[in-house]
Parts: sequence; structure tokens; C-alpha cells
Amino acid sequence: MGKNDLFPGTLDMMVLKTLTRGTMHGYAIAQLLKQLSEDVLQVEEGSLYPALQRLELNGWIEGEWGVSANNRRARMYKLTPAGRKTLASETARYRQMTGAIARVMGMA
Amino acid sequence: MLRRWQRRLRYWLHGEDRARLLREEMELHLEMKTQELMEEGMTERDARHAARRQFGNPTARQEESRETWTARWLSDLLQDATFAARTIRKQPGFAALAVLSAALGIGACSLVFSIANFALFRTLPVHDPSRLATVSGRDLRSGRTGRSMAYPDFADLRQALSFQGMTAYFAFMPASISGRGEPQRYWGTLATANYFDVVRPVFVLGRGFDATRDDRPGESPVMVLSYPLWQSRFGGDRGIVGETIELNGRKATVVGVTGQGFRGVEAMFLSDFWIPFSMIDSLAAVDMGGDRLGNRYSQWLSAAGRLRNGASLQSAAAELDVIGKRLSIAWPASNNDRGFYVERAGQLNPGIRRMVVVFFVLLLSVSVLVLCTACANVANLLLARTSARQKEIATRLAIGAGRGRLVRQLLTESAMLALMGGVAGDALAQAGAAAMGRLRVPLSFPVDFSIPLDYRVMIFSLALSALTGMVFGLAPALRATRPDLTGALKEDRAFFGQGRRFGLRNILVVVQVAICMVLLVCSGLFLRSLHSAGNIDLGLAHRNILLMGFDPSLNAYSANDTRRVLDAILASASSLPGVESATIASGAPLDMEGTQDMFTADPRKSPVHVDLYSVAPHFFETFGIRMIAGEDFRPGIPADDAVIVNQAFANQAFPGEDLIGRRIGFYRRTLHIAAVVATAKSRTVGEEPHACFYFPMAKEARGNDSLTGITLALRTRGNPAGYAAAVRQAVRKVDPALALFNVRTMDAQISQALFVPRVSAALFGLAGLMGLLISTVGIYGVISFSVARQTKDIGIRVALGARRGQVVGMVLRQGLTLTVAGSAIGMAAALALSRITASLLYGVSPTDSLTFLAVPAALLTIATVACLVPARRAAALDPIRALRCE
Repeated sequence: MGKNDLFPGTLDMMVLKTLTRGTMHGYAIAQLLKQLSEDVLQVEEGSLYPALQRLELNGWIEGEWGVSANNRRARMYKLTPAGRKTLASETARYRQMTGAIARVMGMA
Repeated sequence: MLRRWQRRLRYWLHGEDRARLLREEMELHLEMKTQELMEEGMTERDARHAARRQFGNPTARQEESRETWTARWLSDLLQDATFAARTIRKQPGFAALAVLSAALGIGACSLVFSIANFALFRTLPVHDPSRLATVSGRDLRSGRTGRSMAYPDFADLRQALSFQGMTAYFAFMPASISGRGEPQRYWGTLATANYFDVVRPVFVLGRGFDATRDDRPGESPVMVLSYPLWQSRFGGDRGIVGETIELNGRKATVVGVTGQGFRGVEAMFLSDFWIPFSMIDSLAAVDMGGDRLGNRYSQWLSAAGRLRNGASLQSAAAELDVIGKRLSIAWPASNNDRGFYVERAGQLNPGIRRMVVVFFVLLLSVSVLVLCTACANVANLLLARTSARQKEIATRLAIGAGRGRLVRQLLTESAMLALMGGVAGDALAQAGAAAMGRLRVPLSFPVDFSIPLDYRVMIFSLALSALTGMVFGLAPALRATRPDLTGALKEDRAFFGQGRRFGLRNILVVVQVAICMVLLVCSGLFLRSLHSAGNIDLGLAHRNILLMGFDPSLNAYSANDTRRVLDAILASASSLPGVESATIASGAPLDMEGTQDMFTADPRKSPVHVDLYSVAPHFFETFGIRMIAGEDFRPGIPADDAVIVNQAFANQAFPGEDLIGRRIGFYRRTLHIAAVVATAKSRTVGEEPHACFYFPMAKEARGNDSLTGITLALRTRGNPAGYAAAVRQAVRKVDPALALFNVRTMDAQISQALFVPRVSAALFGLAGLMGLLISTVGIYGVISFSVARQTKDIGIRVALGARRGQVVGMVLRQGLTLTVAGSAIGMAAALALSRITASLLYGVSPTDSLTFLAVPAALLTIATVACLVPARRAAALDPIRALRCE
């Protein structure tokens, strides 16, 4: 995770969210993150991989070797039911937190 | 959570594969990115660079990923452990001192714990031991419990509803077993036939008694063997069940062998075998006088009961109280003030238990104190060492090692030392326990002091060593890694003479030396006393005497038969070639068991305590006790009212009078004094002269009691032990079923009589050695640390021209000041204690000058050596390096 760019844990959460759209490989996840954030989040793309390892270790995503759109051998990730549950609770927590921060900053 | 760990373990095991695949994944990512950028119009070179830039450092990412599956602390721990092992190996001397100190402290604590664990928390190896209770008599006036009870009382108690079953037993029953080898005396339990149904131990072979038959007199006699008896006497023969063996010359059929750990339900007393009540008449040794089963005055039984489901010890106790009250109303003469007491089986009697608890709390606090001292010493050693490593540590801190990480590394090292200490300490504790198990207490029945291995003790040792490692490692580790190094050093800098003279460290060393001094002086005194005890005039010629016990009453002889057997044994023993004289007696001098009575010569004066012996002719000749006046008893001439007295009796009862032929009243008898003999030691080696009466061995000869039996004594030419086999053979000719026991030489008996001084010398000696070792490490540690701290000062002195000898002298002075102070305090304490030790010493003054000179001299020498090592290190300092040290 890029050190100064994100709140801790947000990258993991966003990866989980991205994977709700379906099975995809690492590069696709990175692309999608970039598109969705409209290039605002300057995340080192490499930091995605430790995050993927972490999520897999926790049993939230599952990686499997498959074939990418242009016929390359690639590791495809998909969300597990446990991951879905975690995403739901993380989203709720995130909402609560940003709301609180916004209120403190006088922006709510 | 568990799944996560499983996954982590799998990742870790397949780490290499995983890392390769991850690298492949990342490369694919970079390639795709490059492709995309090239499609946007970049050159391949630029695209590749840009992709890289956006990706970040792939190696760092790889590392970061790897960490998610290999727990970092684990690899750190491994690294620390290797590092610690290396540092320890590099300094074997230091490691040995540290491990030994820790081992002594932990070993002492573990030994005490293992004894306490055994004495207080043991459970019997029987089915559901928590429901098995022992019932004993209680004296309501004194509150004493653990009393025996009469058979009729037991028969009434048996009706109690709280118990599913209750058994009564007598656990101190000697019996000689013959057949398959020499007849030998063993100790067994006489029990009601339901004993094994109530107690329910495990059986290796066969079964227990048959409760429906074995109670009735006249049934075919049976017996149950304990595992050790089965092993030692019958070689573990699996065909033993159903065989007939001879018990006191009568046949009994073996019906079972109990499991290995089971020796009865008493806490201390070990049973070799069990026989049912139906055999009671064959056991003349248990002479309780008259009707043993019908008499309420004859209290000789213990009882054990198995609690019924739903009944508790409390409810059982309440019920027994009620029964006790009813009995005391119904039988006021015998049962007044008698109650009953119920407790978990296999426990020590509560009175003893309380004492034991207090004793162990004391012992444990002493050993914890020893452990703390050992910890403090090792901490000092570590401090000295980390001070020497200050530079290395500072460098590592400077290049960015985390403080936590360094502390952890230093702690790993001390934990490792402590763990080795713990293992060694556990071994020491077990050796100590084994030594205790081998301790031969001079009692004639078997007593259990052996402590089995117990996993709880090992857990205790390990936990203790972990704690120890933390305790002695934490302070040095924190100190060594203190961030402001120069400041820390400056603050602590102490020039010679200005150091904190009364600092905690110094006081601790002084106290250690003082305690060590007391212990060493005591052990010195005991050793000297043991030596001089060997030179005490015993009043008898103790060389070349063979003693052995036998008990004709076990074989249920009539009085006439007993007389005949004794005469026959005596005759055949004295006719053996090489035997100069032979005698039989109720007991031998110094066998520590015997009868004592009072003799009143003059009602106005206090009575004289006399030891009573019954002796056959030639007793004094055999033991080499000098005849002063008069004549020995003569064989074949009845002398029922004759008595031989010793000089001590003459001096105490009738000083200055001629006693030969004099008539004296002793209870309702009138005795005439046939002879006066020299005073020999009677009970203990250290005693003041005891008055003794020697009666002629009566017709209905018995031993002092069933414990010692009758003693056969032979004076031999040459080594007496060599005659044992011949005597056995001679006795076997008289009666093949008669067991000979306690075969020993008089010299061995004397050294047994020195049991107390020997054991105290050994204990104090051990404690003294331990103290010496610990305080030597203490002195060495403190001086090493202070030298390490003063490296710079010493460097300055050497640079200014101090000679090596002066530096050595300075350091020595520091160490010896502490030693002398401690020794002085210790000597004073030892002198103050001398009044207590005096009662345990034989022929040595409690202020024995040799001891009080030799011990301090030895201590000072050792302390000098301990100081010399760091002193020479200080003197060898290169001033330039020393000054650069900070």
C-alpha cells in the first residue's frame, strides 16, 4: 500500500469492492481502480499484490490460475462469501467514519 | 482463525513456489501495462520505464507479500535464537556460570515443589480416588485424629449410610514369606475381605479377596501380592496366581497381584502384601491380647470407605459424629470422648499436614530467595557483558536497528540461558528426589520417600525458567539499549572510592557471602563432629560383630518351642567355625528401638530412666562390654530375679555403693544385682551415659516389639559380613521357614546411628557448596560489572602511569572489602547460632577454632580468585582503546 496515499485498510476494501463485478486478474483490478477513482488515487500499482496476498490469506478472495482475455496465463481472483460479508461490514464502518470526519471538518 | 493458520502454514511450506508465481504475476502486470502504454504511442523503452515507475519497487512488494504468509516474528525468532546460540558458544565460561546459577535456583525450587506436590497433592492409584475416604478414631479431648479403632466400633461404623462399603485393616503387619529362596520378612496389611471391593486398585494379575468367603475363619487362606514383591521375590512370574506360598510357615494361595503404584491407602506406609481377616489367627505377631474382634478396648484398626453417590466428606463426617455419640452413650467405659474422623484417602493426617505445609512454605521461600539471588547475580554478569558489548550495540542502534528488536535479541539470549538452566535445574531436582528416595531411614519398617516423576514438576521448572530469563535479562537488556548512551554512561560513571558503597548490588553480595559463611561453618562443624563421633568411646568393641533379626513369634511357636528354637539357633551359630562368641538379645546397643522404664531408688529423688534389655549369656563378651564386677548369666542356670546393671545406673541411683548382690525393688519384683558392667552407648552415639538393666532372656522370649524381633549377635574372626551366609544356613537347619532380617554389621549399625549428624552434614554441606557457588558468581559478577563500568577511569589511570599491579590491587580491594564484610557478619551469625547447633554436635565445640579459621580462609581464597579474573582483565586494558571506549 502506498504509504501516504490511503487510509490503512482502504485499499483492501476497494479491491474487495472491485471484485464484486466479477472474476478478474491483478492488472484488471488495478485498471478498474484507476478508472473508477478517475485517476485521483495515486496508488503504486505494485502495492496491489501484497494486498491480494493478504486478502487471500484471510480467505476473503480466492485466486486461481486461468486465462486472460488476450489468452495469457493469469491468476484470476474472485470474491468468497466470507469476503462479501467483510466487504459489507467494512463498507458500513467506512461510511460511519467518513461521515464522522466530514462532520468534524464542518463539511456535512 | 484456525483456517487462516492452516493457510499460513501451507503458504509457508510452499513459500518458494508461491514466490515464483507471484513474480510471474507481477511480470505479467508490467507487460500488460507496457503494452497498453505502447498502444497509447510511447516507445517500448519509455513504456517499460513508465510501467515500472507506476508499479513501484517489485522486490519490496515481493518481500511485503512474503511477510503476509511467513510470520515475521517467527523468522526473527529463529534469527535471534541462532545469534544467541552463537554468542553463548563464544563465551562458554560466562554461559556455564549463568546456567549453573540459574540451575541451582530453579533446581532448589523444583525439588521443594516436587516434594510438596507429592506430599500434598498425591492421589491414590485406585478407581475414582476422590470417593475413597479413610476413617480414623478421634480423641475428642485432645482433638487428635488418626487414631486406631476397635473392631466392634468398625462394625458399627460400617452401617453408615454415607458409604457404599467400608473396610478395616491393620497396616503394620510383619510376616515372613518362604518358599522360592531365602525366607524373608515383609510388611503387609491384614484387611477385611471386602478391602479390594472398597479400595478398587488395578490388578496386574488375578483378583482381590472374595468378599463372600474370605472373611470366615477356616476358609482356605489367600493372599494378594504388591507389584514390587511380585517382581523382587517371584521375578514377575505370571503363573504365580493359584500357587501356594508359605506365610509364617503356613500355606496361603496367591489370588492376585496389584498394579505397580498401589501400596495400600496409607500416605507413608507401604504394604508388600494383603491377607484377609480369616487368617488372623495365624498371625501371632499382632498380639493385641485376648479377643481382638470382640473387644472395644483393643484399638488397632484403620478403616477406609467408599462414599456413596451423593454423599460428601462433610455429610459422612456428620453421620459418623452421630454414630460416635451414640457409641459413647452405649459404651461409656471404652468410647467416652471418642469420635471419628473422615478424610480423603492417601492424605497425611491433618496435624502432620499442617506442619508439612508450614515446612514447605518455609522451604519454598528459602529456595525462592536462592533463585532471586541467582537471578541478581546473573543479571550482574549480563550487565558486565552488555557493558562490554556497548559499542556493538551502539553501532547497531546507530545504523537503525529498532530498540525493541535489540531488546528482544538480548532477551532471547537470556531466555536461552535460563532455559538451559531450567533443564539442568530440573535434572538437579530429579537427582535430589532420587537421592531422597534412596535415603535409608533407620526404621525397621519400610517408609516411602521416593518421589515419582511428575509432569507438573517439569511444567513448573519450565515456567520458572521462562520467568527467570525475563527477570535477569530484562534490566540488562533495557539498560544496554538505552537510547542516550553517552548520557547513561556519564551518569553512572563512578571513580574509584566514589562508587555507591552501599548500593543494592554491594549489599546483596555482602548478604550472600554472610549466608554462605553461616552454611559453610555449620557444615564444617558437622563434618568435624562426624569425624570425632567416629572417635567417641562407645563402651563396646564394635568391630567384627554381625547382627541379625528374627522373630519366632511370626511362626506362632508356643513358649516352649520358642525356647527350643532359640537354644538351637544359638547353639548352631556359636559352633560355626570362626565365631568367637554368640548371643541373643531383645536388641543390640544403638539400634534406636527399645524399651525404657523408670527406676525409683529413693522416693525423694527423681527417678532414673533405665533402658531395658533381655540378654542371653555371653552378651557382654560378644559386644565387648567390660564386666566391672560380678558374673555374667550362665547357660542353663535359671536366674529369673537376677539383673545386671551398668556403671551409669550405679552412679545415678546408688553413687559410691557396692552393688553386687544387692536387692532392689522394681515394680512388684525384687531383683538382685548379679553384676555391674561398663557403660556402653545405648540409643545414640552422642548421648550422656544411659542407665541400663540387662535381664536374663526369659522363657517366653520376645523381642522389644514386633518391629525389631530378636537380635542374634556374633563376634567373629575377620570380616563379620562374610559369616552371614553360614548363619543363614545354620538357622535354616533349625527352621526353614524362619526369616532373618536386618542382617548388618555393628559398624554399619553405628553409622546408621549417626544418621542425623550424617544427614545434617550432607545437607549443610550441599547448601554450603550451593551458597559458595552462588556467592562466588555474585562477587565475580559485581566486580566484573564495576570493572566494565570503569573502563575509562582505568584507562586514564594506566595512561597516567599506574602500574598493572596497582590496577589489580584496586579491583581486588573492592572485591575483598565486600567479602570481608560479608564474612564478618556471617561469622557473627554462626557464633550466635552455635547454641542451637551445639545440641547436634558430638565432641566438637560449637565454636571450634579450626572450623572458624579454615572456612573464612577458604572463602577468602575463592573470593580472591573470583576477583582476580576481572582484575587482570582490567590490568590488561589498552589505555588507548579504553579511552575510546565511549
